[in-house]
Amino acid sequence: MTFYMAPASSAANRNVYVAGRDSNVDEVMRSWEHKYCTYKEAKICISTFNVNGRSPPPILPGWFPSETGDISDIYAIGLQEMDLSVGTYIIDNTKKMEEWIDCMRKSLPGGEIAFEVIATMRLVGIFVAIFQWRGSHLKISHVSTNYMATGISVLMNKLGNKGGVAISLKINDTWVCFINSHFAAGNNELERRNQDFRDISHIRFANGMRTIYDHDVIFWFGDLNYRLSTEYMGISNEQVRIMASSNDFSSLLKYDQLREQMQRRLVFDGFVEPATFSFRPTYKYDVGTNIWDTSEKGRVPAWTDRILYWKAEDSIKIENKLMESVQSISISDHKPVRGFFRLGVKKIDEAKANQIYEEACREADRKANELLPQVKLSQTEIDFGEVKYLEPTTRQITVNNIGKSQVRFNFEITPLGKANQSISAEWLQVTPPHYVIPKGQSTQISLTVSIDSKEARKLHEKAKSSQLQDILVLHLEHGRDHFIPVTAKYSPKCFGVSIDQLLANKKTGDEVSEDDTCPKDLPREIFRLVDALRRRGVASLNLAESTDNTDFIQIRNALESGHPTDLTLLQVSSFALYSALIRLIDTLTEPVIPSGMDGIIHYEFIGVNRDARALWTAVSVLPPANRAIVEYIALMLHEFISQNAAIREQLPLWAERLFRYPPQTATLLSAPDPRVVALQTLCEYRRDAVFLF
Amino acid sequence: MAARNTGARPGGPNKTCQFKLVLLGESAVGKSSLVLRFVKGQFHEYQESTIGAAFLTQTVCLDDATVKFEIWDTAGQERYHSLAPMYYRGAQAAIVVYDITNQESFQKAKNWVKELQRQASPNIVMALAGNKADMANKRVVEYEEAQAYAEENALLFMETSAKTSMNVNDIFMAIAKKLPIGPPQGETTGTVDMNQPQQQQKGSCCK
Repeated sequence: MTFYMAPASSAANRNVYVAGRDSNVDEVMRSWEHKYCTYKEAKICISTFNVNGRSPPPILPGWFPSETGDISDIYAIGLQEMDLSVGTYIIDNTKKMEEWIDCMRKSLPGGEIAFEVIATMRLVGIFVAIFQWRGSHLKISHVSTNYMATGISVLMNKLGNKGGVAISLKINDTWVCFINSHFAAGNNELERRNQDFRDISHIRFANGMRTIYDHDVIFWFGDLNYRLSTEYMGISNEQVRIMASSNDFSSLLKYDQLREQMQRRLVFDGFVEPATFSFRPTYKYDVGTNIWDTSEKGRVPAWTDRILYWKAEDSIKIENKLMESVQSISISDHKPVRGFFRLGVKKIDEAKANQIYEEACREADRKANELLPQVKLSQTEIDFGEVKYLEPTTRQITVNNIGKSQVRFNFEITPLGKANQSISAEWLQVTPPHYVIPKGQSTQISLTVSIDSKEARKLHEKAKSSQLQDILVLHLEHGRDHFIPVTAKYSPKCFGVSIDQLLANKKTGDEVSEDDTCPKDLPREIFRLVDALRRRGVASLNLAESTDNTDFIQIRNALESGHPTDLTLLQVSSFALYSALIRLIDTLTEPVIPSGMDGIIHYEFIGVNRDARALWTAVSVLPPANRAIVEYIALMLHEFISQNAAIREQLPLWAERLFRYPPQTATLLSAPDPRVVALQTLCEYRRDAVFLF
Repeated sequence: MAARNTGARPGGPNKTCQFKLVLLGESAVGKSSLVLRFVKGQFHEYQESTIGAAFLTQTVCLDDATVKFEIWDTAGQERYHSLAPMYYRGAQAAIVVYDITNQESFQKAKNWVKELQRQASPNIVMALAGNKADMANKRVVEYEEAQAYAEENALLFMETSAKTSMNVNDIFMAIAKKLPIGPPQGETTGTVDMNQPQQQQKGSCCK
């Protein structure tokens, strides 16, 4: 169910400002408060009194001064130990409460009819009442009350021995919270008192929606029971009593536990009370006198009864005009304390507020948009130009954080049909994929194009065009996306091409010399590599050698350009030439021994792997170039193995590259790979030898 | 100090409704200019081409709600077309923009509408904006033609001018009004009983 009150008039309700919808707008509205609020002064008097369970006399003269004629708008009066009778914990006895309300009314200036009770709240002996003077022009509304018990006995289930009562209300349009509390007693219960504060400060109003800190001002008063820590300082009770009876209160206040705890921000953080006190400690007196406790316990005097306030913002005007005790009242072992305050309360002009609401929204948007992360890229597009097989190329982009705070970025997975949910195409690597750049700083992103054998084959299948394209999406957290198009031109000539293209190279290649011994159907690149190896001889070929990429690039360039024709002239090792040959076969876009229709051709080879005659027959039906390559490689391996027995160990590697596809029939792990057996057979029994018979 | 919420009415805060809105359309029809006019009230004769997806927020106030648009202004160039789903996916509103002086851009706009009808959320609120209405002397796309097309496809339609600001706020406002806004609570003073249990806002628009 949706709860909604239709506005009386749609026009009148247009663009109504309701706080709490958008914190950005609220912030602007708060800072613009002077534009739509008028301010009035509210006179507030607070009094706290631990009445020691006494029944009130009909009137307590002098509790609230009346002779000046200065009547406050609001009186908030808190009592503790209003009712100490055992029954109070079980039976809700309202008699004492009514007597006290009556006494308060009569003690207020102007007499009992001059005031209206706004609200009361009671937790056993802890009681708070708020009165408004009938002559006050302030509007009090949204009154709600609550309490929090912090009693010491778990068994008694917090029956209100200690705790707090609170009243939340609005004076005009200023939210004010009044809390009267009674904290744990005893010199050594300091931590318990602090805990009482923490517990009571969790009081909430209006179905839990408003905390005490959701008010403009909090008045917190009561018997907080903080003592003087004079005993630990070696100051005797007698000395304290002498000091407490003199007018030198500030030297005594140094030992006040509450001040000390507040300075350490352990309790009442942000609350204020007067810098010094101009009144004696309010505890503990012999009842009916102004004499310090003469009982057996002989309590050390202390300012147990306090009034503090807290305001939500510096701009709120609140002034504590006076704080004093009422020494003449002696019905209790405590003295009452009273404080007079002037609070600037606001009145919202709703029409004006609603008028500037739209402007505030715009201002909030402007601020929010201003705070959006911003970066500048050194390049917005990257063209790698020509890229080559096995020749990684790297480009850098500098990302400058030109925004107003740190920026977190990441590259997004895009719907560009990239495999593996990657942020970039497989031929492109991006580092780092995400990063945080502090304000005003920059970072480098590296983009690397690298095409390995697998990628070379794949690219050939994918696109006939030589243009590689990708778009990186650089996303700023809570902000915009930048697109970075990346292009590269990849036009393989020897590596990563089809056998057909190798043959086409042969036609367009340099003029055939007289002594060209390259077999008709054999790609010239294979011939040149094998020829160079033959002429160098492979007896000394070191298969454990490593070859670096610059060697490979030299060979590739020589193969592509045709110069030098004689590869033995290159400053590269024989092993580099041998590796290049393997790569050439490896990057062919289709295997030399094709899988054929449903793998039939491939299967034939595997099936007859020990029968040289059948194998050579199978070779003879391959396309001419494939046949030429198989014959040539087999012949080469035959020769090379006779020169260097270590090359025999390379047969599995060659078989793998010529056949590529794994054997289709499941073979025992221990059984030899039929592809290797087939290749070995072809090498051992040369074609002409086999068909001689 | 605890976070505060002074002035919130009893019943608790209502959040502004947030909606993702995406602008689509051919390159140079004025998508970024419309956003710039709407959000900042500015116009640049030579607006840079958007390479990416610009992001801005803007709040509009309706009679009974506040709508906060999270605006994604996408690159119009064809090469970035395939990235558009990243932005219209999950969008509650879209403005497809064309240039009234460019027939080709109107055709492109129709393609965008088709794509949105196929791929975007079925409840997306779509508007068609015929921008550059200030250049009526160079008009090639007739108002009636576009309006008829918009009616057929149940699109909001306005001719706009980011330059003169004609209909710019209006088209966003019209979209805001069509969005599924759950009625907010605690709206009218004095009508909310503070003892009434807090009602939970229904619908997905409000955070």
